[in-house]
Amino acid sequence: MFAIAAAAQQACGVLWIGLYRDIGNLCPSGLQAYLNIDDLIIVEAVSRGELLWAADQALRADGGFCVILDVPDMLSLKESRRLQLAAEQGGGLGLLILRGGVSTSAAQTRWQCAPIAADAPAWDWRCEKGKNGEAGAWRVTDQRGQNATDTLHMAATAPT
Amino acid sequence: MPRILSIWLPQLPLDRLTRQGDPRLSGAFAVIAEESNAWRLTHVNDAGLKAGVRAGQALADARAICPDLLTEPSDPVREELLLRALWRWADALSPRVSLTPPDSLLLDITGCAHLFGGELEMGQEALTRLVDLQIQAQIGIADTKGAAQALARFGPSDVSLAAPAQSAEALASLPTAALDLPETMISELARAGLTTIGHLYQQKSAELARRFGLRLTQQLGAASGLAPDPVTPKAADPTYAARMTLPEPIGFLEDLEQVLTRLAGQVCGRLETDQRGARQFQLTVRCIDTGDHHMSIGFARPCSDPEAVLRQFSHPLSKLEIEYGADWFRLSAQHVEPIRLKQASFGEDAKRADQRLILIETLGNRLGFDHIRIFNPRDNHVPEHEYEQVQAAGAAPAWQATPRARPIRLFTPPEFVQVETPGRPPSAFKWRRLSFQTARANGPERITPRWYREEDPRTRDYWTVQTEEGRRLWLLNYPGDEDADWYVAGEFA
Repeated sequence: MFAIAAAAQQACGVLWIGLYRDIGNLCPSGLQAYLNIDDLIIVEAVSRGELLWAADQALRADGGFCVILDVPDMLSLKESRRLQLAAEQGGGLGLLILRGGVSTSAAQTRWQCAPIAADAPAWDWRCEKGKNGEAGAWRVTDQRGQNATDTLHMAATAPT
Repeated sequence: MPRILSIWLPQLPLDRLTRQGDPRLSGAFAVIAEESNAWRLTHVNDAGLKAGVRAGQALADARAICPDLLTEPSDPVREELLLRALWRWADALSPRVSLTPPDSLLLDITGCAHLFGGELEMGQEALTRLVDLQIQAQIGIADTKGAAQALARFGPSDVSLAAPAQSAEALASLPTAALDLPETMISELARAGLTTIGHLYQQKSAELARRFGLRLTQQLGAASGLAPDPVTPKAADPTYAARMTLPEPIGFLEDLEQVLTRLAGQVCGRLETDQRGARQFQLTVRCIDTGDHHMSIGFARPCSDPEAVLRQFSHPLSKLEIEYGADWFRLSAQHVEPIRLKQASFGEDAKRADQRLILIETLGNRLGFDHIRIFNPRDNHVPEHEYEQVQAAGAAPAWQATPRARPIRLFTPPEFVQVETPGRPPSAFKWRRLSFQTARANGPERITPRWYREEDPRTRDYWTVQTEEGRRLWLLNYPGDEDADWYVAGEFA
């Protein structure tokens, strides 16, 4: 959800890159509440190598694309450093979705996100690591589709 | 007065197999085609004719007459390709060639014949060249299309000639079948005692028209030169390709890129002059030891930019393994389409669209264009059929918002849930080895499947469940089921 909200702030194309098992079940009729579906491109890679290559190309490309990368397992420090450099070159936003395990990476920030039980859809976003020195936690509530914009701006300015 | 030369290729399907060196043609052999649920012989070779088999016979009859008969179903696509190749070849005889499928070519040879030493010599020259190509042909030359075709098919010799302004006389002795008429009309004519074209001349055309229809008199008039019937030549589609042969083989990547730069410059230059672009480029590299290597790249829109071609080929070229070098290269453009000229990247939107397409091309050429997709709406109410994924290259995004809120991830098929405390929906359950307690539930949303389609016919009830643990799930249950199993159909953000 955090990734989607952050991507929605970028007024540009969104690439969702992953293996079939991770991106095959994305449902546009659910995503449409947060994202412009016309901007979304699904890239299905068949191996980890292809996945990283595609992410690197997309981040490096002109136009500042937002790249959401569904990685099957942890990235090594070297791999994440390459992606970070690519993102700095292209000016886009790169988001890695990590499921469960966490390890050292070259990313600018790392967020722990979880939905919580509340009256309206709500999430806990905790910034666990920020190279710029900001860490903290936010509770974000979806109030009729209007997200807490100040939080989102912060997320958008710090490429992951 | 125009002069028309017609080349009839009576055994084109057999000639195609002969040219391939098919060994079966030494014995009785026939090409067959399915015609109203029966296999019939369409073309029979000489050995077959000798054995008593005729074109037009049913395959079963022919097998009874000649048990050794070998057959091959006709391949209209390949035959058409051969005919098209001959169409281009016929440029050597006359610049105005028209294609009349399935088996003949028409050439307007007005003012060409003297280059070959006369019309008869020209016809014989064409015949000799065709025999060299292992293709059987019959040639007719006359003032009109109809007469030339009739002479080619029914003429007395391989090259039949009607002198200028003598077409009507030359046709007189030919059977009525020589005119391009439906078979029923020919048999009707025969019943009336009219078997040759000469017989038709003796009748008043008004009488013929009244009895047999205007088609007959029109054909007759066109064949005898009373009505105009020009050859409408069509130029073959230009091929955008360039090749390069080098005196010495090369193997370094920089050299290969140099060659490609020159080839791409030529091909794209021609594409650009014609205001066209290609969606696909194919590069063939012939290595002196390992033979041909084919590489192809695709584009998300018609492209005539040599830079882009180079950029996309750089990856496949770097993968190419060359040991002893390559000395022959060919670059060809495929799927050529006209380009609508646009003002180049004016404004943010156009620029962004360009960047998007470039990225799709880059990714598609490595991962395959079918792996780069966008969502398209579908007119359907079943959640998993509300959308589909289509190839991003060549499709314009046109998402229309669906009316109801759906989860962001949809599991198809739905995942089974282990119910711990039953209820509607269950107040405690296990999914993916995690325990959940229902805090709030909203539902059901009942969806009936499309009865007119063969799919799961059960009615579905969907519940939006907020769990105590935080995750928002979309639970599914089939009402009316005895055991009332629960499933997770999706997960909300």
